[in-house]
Amino acid sequence: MSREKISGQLIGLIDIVTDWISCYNHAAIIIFFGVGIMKMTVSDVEYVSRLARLELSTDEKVLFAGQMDAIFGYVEKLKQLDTDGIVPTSHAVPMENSFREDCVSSSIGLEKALANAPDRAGSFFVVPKVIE
Amino acid sequence: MNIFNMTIHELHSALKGKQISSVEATSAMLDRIGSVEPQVGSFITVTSEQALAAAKAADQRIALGDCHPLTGIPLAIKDIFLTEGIRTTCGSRILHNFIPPYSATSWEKLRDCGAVLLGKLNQDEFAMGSSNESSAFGITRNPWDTSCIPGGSSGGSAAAVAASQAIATLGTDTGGSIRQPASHCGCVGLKPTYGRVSRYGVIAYASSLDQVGPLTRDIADCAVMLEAVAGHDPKDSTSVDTPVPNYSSSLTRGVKGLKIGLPKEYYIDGLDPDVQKAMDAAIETYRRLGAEFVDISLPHTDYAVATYYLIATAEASSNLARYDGVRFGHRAEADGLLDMYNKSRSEGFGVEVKRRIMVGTYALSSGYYDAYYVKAQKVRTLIMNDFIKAFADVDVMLTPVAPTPAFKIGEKINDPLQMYLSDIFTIPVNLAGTCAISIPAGFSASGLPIGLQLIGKPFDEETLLRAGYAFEQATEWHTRKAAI
Repeated sequence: MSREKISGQLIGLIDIVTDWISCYNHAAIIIFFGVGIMKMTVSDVEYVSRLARLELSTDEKVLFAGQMDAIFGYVEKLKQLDTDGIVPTSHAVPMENSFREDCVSSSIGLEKALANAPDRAGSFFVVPKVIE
Repeated sequence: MNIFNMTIHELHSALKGKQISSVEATSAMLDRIGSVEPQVGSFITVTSEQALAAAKAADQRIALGDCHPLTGIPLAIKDIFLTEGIRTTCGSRILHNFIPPYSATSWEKLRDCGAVLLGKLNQDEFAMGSSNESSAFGITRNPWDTSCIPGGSSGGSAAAVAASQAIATLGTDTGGSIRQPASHCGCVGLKPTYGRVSRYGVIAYASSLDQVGPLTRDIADCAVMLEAVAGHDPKDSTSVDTPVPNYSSSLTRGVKGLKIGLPKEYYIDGLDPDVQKAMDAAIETYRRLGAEFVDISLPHTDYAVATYYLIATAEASSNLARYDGVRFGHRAEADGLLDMYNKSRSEGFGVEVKRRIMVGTYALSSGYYDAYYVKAQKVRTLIMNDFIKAFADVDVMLTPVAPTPAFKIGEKINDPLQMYLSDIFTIPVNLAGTCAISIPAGFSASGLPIGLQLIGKPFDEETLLRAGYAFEQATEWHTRKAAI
């Protein structure tokens, strides 16, 4: 396995562990939520923004805490409904798998695919250094 | 009559009869866009040169006797549809520089009919909004009253039809985004059944709800547009392989004996009195035309908005993960890869998009997935069942499109929940996956258009168009023009 690949996995692992730690801190909220006293805090917003790969300003964090609190307060009404034994719907039209013939067709090609690249080198997309 | 006020079928006759050329018609539209655009703001990109070249090609095609109902007709499409070689932004700063390498199937189909593209229309960023105030390229104003919103998210698509900046347009509808702006701007807007029109090359917001549809001056135009874009597409595995009827040929069959359901949950106390009046008058019109009315119930209506804002945001948070600054779109100066993701997304997305990504991420996150996302999917099943049961007794349903006429610009922008609730009558249709149409049905005391919604059975757009046509023949609402 290449060095880059191992480092990538390591970063992924660190991410998962830190997410898990945040989640653990988060448990208090889950307990509150269970008895219906939910209050979205700035630290909840920070936790979610990390998962969503968004960097929010202090103003945005405060704004979203209040607004998400209102939105999740509103959706609480779904709890009034008994949905035991109801099958969840993920798709509006009942469909079987949609297969096609396994044959080669034309594609857009390298130059077109790379035309919007913010940075490129030859046939590659260039991104900032992942490891030092 | 001014060319820019014509319908598709009127202009088609003129083109076919060689009274007007497509180049003349296209030039007239471009002039019109130039003169009213500062007041309306319907467009993100106007493609004048390409439009005139396409018009010239259309004229040659017509000269050879090849004149499809859309050949040479100047149209415009929402900036959510990928157009090869023409910048496509989806109303977002994160795509401010994105030139698609391929085109959406729905646009390709219109283009292959010989339609002329005037440009790309303004919209709420990533189709998230009900007012067209969340575009990164400025707001769009309602041509009937420029202090009001045109509706959203296909606000530019509706405003362009109402302000005569395009003969017809294409939009998308995830929770009402075609019907609500059509209602607020006094045009016809159809959300086809999920799977009726290909979503290939349509920038995804909520993939299980998004659907492509036309906004037009009248029902006949709507039928022509739907016929052109509908049908199975091998490139969209969720598009359904079911025959596309010849919608135009069945318009005149009338509504005698048609069973129209009135769901009691849609006729609520909070309904604006002018909207209620328009619905009462519409019911009377249909009764006079021989339709029968049946009182029905869709008992889970009150849960639709909550269900929608969990499912749509969850799907959005996943769909919008692709905007990371790596392969296309905005890339921020950053220190390392993770920092680049965070900064590119934070600089590129506007506040409404960030809010919905946050809501969706939270609803999908560990510990909340079952309580929010799966719960919402189960309630979606209950909402779908409501429709299946009700459609056992009726052919279509008649409801308002929106609880009020267009509201003022800025009125709801700081209260997302109130904004979300303005889609209360359109959202259930997307959750159920069926089809519905908005038809001009009157005006408020202050002169703002009011639309009525007809909801049809899955894949029965034909009945919606037939019932819409009968209403149009009996009323004059669709002939009024905004004084802009």
